[in-house]
Amino acid sequence: MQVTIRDLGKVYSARGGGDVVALQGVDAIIKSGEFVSLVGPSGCGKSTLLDIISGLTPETTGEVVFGDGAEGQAGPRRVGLVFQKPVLLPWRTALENIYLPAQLGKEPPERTESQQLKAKARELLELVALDKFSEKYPWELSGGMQQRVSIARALLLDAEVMCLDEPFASLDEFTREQMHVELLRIWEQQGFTGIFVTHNIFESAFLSSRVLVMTPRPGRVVAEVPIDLPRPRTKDLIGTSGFTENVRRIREAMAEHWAE
Amino acid sequence: MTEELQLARSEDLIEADIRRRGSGAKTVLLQLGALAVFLGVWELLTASGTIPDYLLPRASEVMVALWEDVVDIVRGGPMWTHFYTTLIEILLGFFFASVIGIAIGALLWEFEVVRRALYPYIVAANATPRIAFAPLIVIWFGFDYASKVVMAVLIAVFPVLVNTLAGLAATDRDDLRLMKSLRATRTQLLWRVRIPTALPFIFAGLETAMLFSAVGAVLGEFMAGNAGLGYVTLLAQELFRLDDAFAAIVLLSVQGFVLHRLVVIAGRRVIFWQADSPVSK
Repeated sequence: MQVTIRDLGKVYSARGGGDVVALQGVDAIIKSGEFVSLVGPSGCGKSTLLDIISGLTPETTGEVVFGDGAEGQAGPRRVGLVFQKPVLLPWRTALENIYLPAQLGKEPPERTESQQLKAKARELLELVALDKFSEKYPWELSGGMQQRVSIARALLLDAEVMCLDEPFASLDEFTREQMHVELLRIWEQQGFTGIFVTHNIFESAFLSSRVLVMTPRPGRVVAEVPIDLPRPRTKDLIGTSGFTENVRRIREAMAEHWAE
Repeated sequence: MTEELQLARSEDLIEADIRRRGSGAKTVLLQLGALAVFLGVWELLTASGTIPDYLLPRASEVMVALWEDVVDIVRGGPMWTHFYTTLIEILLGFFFASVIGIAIGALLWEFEVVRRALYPYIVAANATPRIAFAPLIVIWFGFDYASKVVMAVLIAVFPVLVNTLAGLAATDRDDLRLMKSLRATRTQLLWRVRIPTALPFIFAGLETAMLFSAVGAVLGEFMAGNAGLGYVTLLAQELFRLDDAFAAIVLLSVQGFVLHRLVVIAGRRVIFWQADSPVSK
């Protein structure tokens, strides 16, 4: 599903006056099935942008449109959200955590549908290679496994757009690299539109089809760097001259627009 | 985090530390040894007359009195009546303190205006020594069970109330974001996240409430009446039967220990995810 961001702005009114402009005039089109990263330093509004796309925060100006316009706003907005922390409920097993979205919302699923969703939750557990851990509780899983559970949870209701907010930032380097390959495999299999927030340039280059560079005060998208690396991507890619070249272009775009 | 929750956690930490430091059998032996030394020194000081027997009975006499009490309890004699009178008082006090504490805590959570209006008075009530109401409580509730249970509730209700309130407010920000992103309704948020999050707090409150209820029950028996282990303690002291007084105190201590333990065990069952979980979320 295509995501169109038009002249988006967000202002937080601070207590005692002095508004903070978190986002200003953000325009972007993220095509259906594309994987795009939002890269920028702290305070550039990348998380705010993601919160608006996923419906957690209302925008102040502009709009986010789902679909290619021809179908209008047809169909339910299915946006999956993955946070920096796994945010799993410790009293629920891995499987129960993945199933959680099915139990929420104004219209809980009917009996047959909930059976299907339970089966789906098991499939997703398999997809993230945790089928042997279905009855384990979060605290019995490693950090990487927990984050995989949270990705599976975001996929339960057939997310067509997946927002990931620095999901691997708190993982160790080795696990993070594994998760990159894992995420790309899941993305290729599921075909969702991926929007990935990070401040890690290598990560954004490795994962994305396109990198949107953002700068702070006010938060804006200042550059767009297409990543011309073949897919499927593996770890062997890192260190190749092509990869280094793409990283360099992201850095340059950043440096050009952001002097601090 | 409230005081009670921290207290409960501290106990868990200390127990875990003790378990880590040695085998179970060795630890028990060590603890029995400490008791033997304590009783030995006590016996020595009293038998030699260093401490006169009108101030402190001999340890051996207390043991004998305790044994007689236990035999009497098992046979269903008068001590059984005292024992179970106090037990019922503590349990009723605990029950009502739990129900009332959780109910008021939940109401204060739900209605923000009420919370703002009443919270300082609740803190003040908690700071009031409830024993000051003793004469009034006897006048209002009589010499029987009721006055003891009321005293127990008055003391035990606050830790439950405050912890319920704190627990319901303790919901993690990230959990709230998650539930919002999943379009959870208020009720769903309450049952799926807020209440499970509050449970460790509530159980910490319940643990304290059980101990406080025992204090309240004995205070109640000191105020009036003619039954219960607290009453026995008081009467025995007035009659200078210090061995009987100490024996009754030991029985109270055992009662309190077991009841508190039951709450701890129940809590660990219910809140299984906190047992050994440095939950990273």
